[in-house]
Amino acid sequence: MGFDSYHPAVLLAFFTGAIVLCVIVQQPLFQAAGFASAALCLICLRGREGWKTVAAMLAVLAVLACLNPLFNTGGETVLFRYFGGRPYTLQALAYGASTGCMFATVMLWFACYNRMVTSDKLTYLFGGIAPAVTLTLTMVLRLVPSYQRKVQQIVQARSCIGKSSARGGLRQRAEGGALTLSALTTWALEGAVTTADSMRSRGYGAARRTSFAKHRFGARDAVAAAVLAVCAAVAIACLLGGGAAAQYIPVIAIPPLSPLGWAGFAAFLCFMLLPSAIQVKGDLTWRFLRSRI
Amino acid sequence: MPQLKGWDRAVWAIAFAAAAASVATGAVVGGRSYVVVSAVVVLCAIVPCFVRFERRRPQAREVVMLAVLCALAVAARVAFVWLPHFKPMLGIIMIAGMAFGASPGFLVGSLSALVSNFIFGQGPWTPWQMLAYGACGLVFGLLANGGYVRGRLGAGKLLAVSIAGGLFVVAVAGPILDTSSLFFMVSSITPEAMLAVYGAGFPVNLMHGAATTVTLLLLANPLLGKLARVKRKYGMF
Repeated sequence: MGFDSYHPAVLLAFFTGAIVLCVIVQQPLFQAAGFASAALCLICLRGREGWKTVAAMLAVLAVLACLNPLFNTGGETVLFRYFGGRPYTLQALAYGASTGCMFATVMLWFACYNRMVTSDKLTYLFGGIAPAVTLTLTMVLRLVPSYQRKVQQIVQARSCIGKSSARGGLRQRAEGGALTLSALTTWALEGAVTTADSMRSRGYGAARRTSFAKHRFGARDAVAAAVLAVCAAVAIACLLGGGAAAQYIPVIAIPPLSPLGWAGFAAFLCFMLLPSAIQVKGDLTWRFLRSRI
Repeated sequence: MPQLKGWDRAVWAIAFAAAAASVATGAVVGGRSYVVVSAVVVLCAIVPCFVRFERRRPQAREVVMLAVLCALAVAARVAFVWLPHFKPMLGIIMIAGMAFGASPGFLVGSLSALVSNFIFGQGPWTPWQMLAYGACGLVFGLLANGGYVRGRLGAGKLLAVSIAGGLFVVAVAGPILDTSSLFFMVSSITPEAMLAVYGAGFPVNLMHGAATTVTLLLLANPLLGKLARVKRKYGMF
């Protein structure tokens, strides 16, 4: 059982916390830990595909780092000059690397988020707070594939009467596309009215909506939430207390970690590694139990 | 409905206070916290519109109509798969706004952005996209609220609206999206960096704007006519 089997609220809290912390922190050790944890989490989830994404993000990091000195000329150590004297500085390069790392880490966390927090979990979570919006969202998620299929049907029917979307000039094909959408709209609107009447006659809005609840906030969710809360509190206290201070421009000044800094780093690492740890523990348990059979 | 007006005002006041508080917190924390603050401020602009929709306790017909319009906007791309980079979504959002008004227009836009991100993957751009696409529905909904658009458009109006739609994408919706890259990818927001980010976004926005103009030219009248008919037939909104 991986982290994705935890309660959606825990998942959402984790991703919000992880992304906010990884954006705010500027200390290179923290940033590297954040990037490595996000990469590890994605690799645990996706294996080979995960490695590819991580490699792509490393490339993005490098590009963003190299681009920054072109826009920011602050910094004392000039590496070289171009365009008749515009400086390209080491400090701006380092700060660019820091921002690139932030961006890459956030993208990796979102890649994990997209795998773990599926739309049904989100609609479960917000069904109570915003029932109308959530219902709309659920309906859209169901209607989109059905409309896409209907478009295929309309396109096929049109090609049977010699109006294939592959033939004719650009203008003709564009008008064909518009006619297809127009036909889809007519069909969709009539269907909408039928659906709405059907909902009304079944008592929509008469009582509080219940949801298909398959998530229960159990003991392990409470434990995970408590661990996340404590780690986040320590990490934030460390960040606000200057335990993870780092300056890049005009001079790179990264003081060695104080005891507060180390405590914050431990909490930060613990927070970021939680999903991977749960995943690895689940995999090991599974392997161990299987080997005993 | 007067009792909703008070609620509305309170919600907006809370949203403004939350946005101001997050800006103040960001100023105290310093560093790169402005990236988070920007996303929070954008969310503060979006959430009140959803709260208003919830507070109104919408009828089944409104919910279904909203869902259908969003789904049409998201699925419309399939009818033009043979034309690469042609995105009709914003054009359809604008048509929805013109048919139903500013407030439903915003909801159609921002929900369509959210749903298309469910399909293509959420990212740090999601709130910005919800704002930008919502703005398209909102601004073109104002045309309906102001009585400029009623049902089908005459040839002159159609041309004007279509060109305005394209320009709005190039000048407003596209740059809002580029701003999210500015905040997330650029270390130091200098004039040169802004020029580079908005400049790099310009060709993309230009194509998106052209697609929107073409969509509006081709689809505005048929869709507005159909929506007006459904509204009249079933008495919606």
